[in-house]
Order: sequence, then structure tokens, then C-alpha cells
Amino acid sequence: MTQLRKRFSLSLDALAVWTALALAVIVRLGVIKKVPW
Amino acid sequence: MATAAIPQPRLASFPERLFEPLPGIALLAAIGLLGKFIEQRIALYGKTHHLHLPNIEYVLWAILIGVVVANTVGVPKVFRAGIATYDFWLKTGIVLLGARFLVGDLALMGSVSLVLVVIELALAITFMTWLGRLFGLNRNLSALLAVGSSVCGVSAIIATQGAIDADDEDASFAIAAILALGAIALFTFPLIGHALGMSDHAFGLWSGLAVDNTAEAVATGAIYSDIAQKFAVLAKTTRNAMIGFVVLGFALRWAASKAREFKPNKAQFLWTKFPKFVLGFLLISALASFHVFDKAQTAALGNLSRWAFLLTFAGVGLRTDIRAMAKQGLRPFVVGALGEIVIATLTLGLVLGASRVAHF
Repeated sequence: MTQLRKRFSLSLDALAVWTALALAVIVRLGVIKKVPW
Repeated sequence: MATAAIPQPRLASFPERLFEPLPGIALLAAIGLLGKFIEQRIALYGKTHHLHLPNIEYVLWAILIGVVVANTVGVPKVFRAGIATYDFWLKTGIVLLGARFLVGDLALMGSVSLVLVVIELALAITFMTWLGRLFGLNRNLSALLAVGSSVCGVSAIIATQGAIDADDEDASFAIAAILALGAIALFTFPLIGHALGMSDHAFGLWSGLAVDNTAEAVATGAIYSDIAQKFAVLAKTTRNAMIGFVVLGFALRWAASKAREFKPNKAQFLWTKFPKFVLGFLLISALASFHVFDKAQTAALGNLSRWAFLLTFAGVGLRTDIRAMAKQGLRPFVVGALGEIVIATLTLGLVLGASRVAHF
């Protein structure tokens, strides 16, 4: 994770936000329809 | 001239380093899932044997398993990089949880939280500074304990350490005290909440206001109930958002005490210290409020947030080092513990008072 952040000059917060937004887009596009819990 | 070749350690390539956290993440998942399995098995056992067993959430099992593993067999090096990602999962989980808050509710509940947070900050900083002085702790350690217990635990302590030029030793004292007290809160707060018959809303607010580190605050809420976890995240996020103001206040005081000028631009300083994941939380909440996600998609995002928290809670247990905490000495711990008891009592009073006024 640290390597990924350094590679793309991202802070931990930014990486978390981008990951969450990417997941939101994937869910919105219907790629993931249901997430079991 | 011939030079002797000195063998250099081979540096791992970028893809190799990218895979480095995977064993640790797998361990987090395994512990979290084991916690979930134990919770389900106990519930099933109670149901089949017609027994009324208390529902102990997977959160507590995951943390307990993590604590036992870390403090008995220990964590091999191969897992460490992955375990360190627990903070990333926490922040990702909080941002995704934004989908379960509508902006209107957020404004309403957030304003109640904000008022309570401002009162809590003033009380906690004043009391902890006074208590540190009473116990003869040095000024910097008192300041770090005050910030750690008033704002948001470890990240606030680290931010303030840089701003007031405190020693690493003081910071590690303060961090150990805050983490130890957070671990104690995980077990005691839900018991107190149930004994007082607190609503999920009130208990969540109390956890978010009184438990210092974000992961422990969210876990304490989650042990109580799903709704309590939501409100714990809200109150804790509001507290986190205040970190810049508090650190700036301490930095200005430190500069004045050293007769130095505070050089950085204040607005830029505030922005640097502002936890940016709060903006992601608000953005997802705004998208949910504008119906960008339908009901099933909101539920899917909520469950993704749960999975992220499952990894976080396993990490909370695994990085709890009881021996290291014991080594830190008694005085900072006593100051922290006394402070936390008083702050927890005051915030409990605040939340119960607010719940009567705002009917939650």
C-alpha cells in the first residue's frame, strides 16, 4: 500500500477516497450488483 | 584500479512490493471472518438449544483474536505490511458509509454532533492540560495527551508532535496511553450503554465523542449495534475534522511561548492538517442524496463498507501490543486514564442531555 501511494504520490486519505469512489462507480455501473454480508 | 564488488541486497521490483501486503490482508480477512463465524455459531447454538445468549458482535471476537495472536505467537514479518493497511480500510469504509447518510440528515445530525464536539474539545483540552500539570508531566507530553484525548487519537498526536517540536518519546507515551484506553473503552462502553439503556443513536454519539482513536470509536459503536456504529462514525468524523484547528491552536501557543513567529500560512496549515477522507465521505453522501444510487446499490455500498471495517477491526486487535503498553510507564497512563474517565463521564452527560432535548 505504501509503495502504491509513493508511486502515485498519493496520501493515505486520497488513496482511500479514490478506492471508495472507484467502488461506487463499479456498483453504479452494475458490475457488482449485490454484496453479501 | 580494481574495486571489490560489495554484494548489495536485492531491491524488490515494484510489482513484487505491490504484492507485499497481500499475506497480511489475508490474515486480517481470516481473523475477521473467524469473528463473524463465532458470532453466527453462538447465535445458532442459542437458537437450537432455546437459550437466551447475549449477542456478541463479530467485532469484539475479531479484536480479541487479534490481541491473542499478536501477544502470544506474535506476528511474523511477512504479515506486517498487510496489517499496517488497517488504517486504509478504516478510511475507505468511512467514505463508503457516506452512502447511508443523506445530506439533509447529515446537516441535522452533524450540527448536533458539532455542538457536542466543540464542548467536548474545550472540556477535554482544559482538563487534560490541568491534569498533566498536576501530575508533573512535561508541557509537551501534557499537550499531546490533551490533543490525543480531545480530537482523534494517534493522528492528532503525530500532527501536534511536529507542530510543537515534542520528543518521539513523549509522542510514543501519549500514543500508548491513548491506544490502551481505547482498548479498555471497547469492552466497557457497551456494558455501560446497555446498563443505562441508551438508544443506538445516543450510544453511537457517545462512542464517537469519547473514544479517542477512530478505529476504536467505530468498533465500539459497531459492538453496540449497526445504527450506533453509524452515529459513532458521524461524531468521530466531526471530531477528526477539527484536528487542524486544534493543532493550529497548540502550534500558535508553542510559538508564542518560544517568542517565535508562526511562519506557515494559517489557511494552508489548516488545509494540510484537514483529514481529506471526510470530503470523500461528504461526496458519497451527496451522491446518495441526489439518488445517484438506487436502493440495491446503496445496500451494496453499505456492505462493502462493512467488509472494509471487518479488516480494520482485525487490525485493531493485531496491533495491540500489551507488553509495549506496559513498558511505557504508569504516570502518563494514570493521567490518560483519569482524564478519559472524566471526559467519558462529561460526554455521557452531554449526550444524555442532548438526547432529551433533541429526542433521540
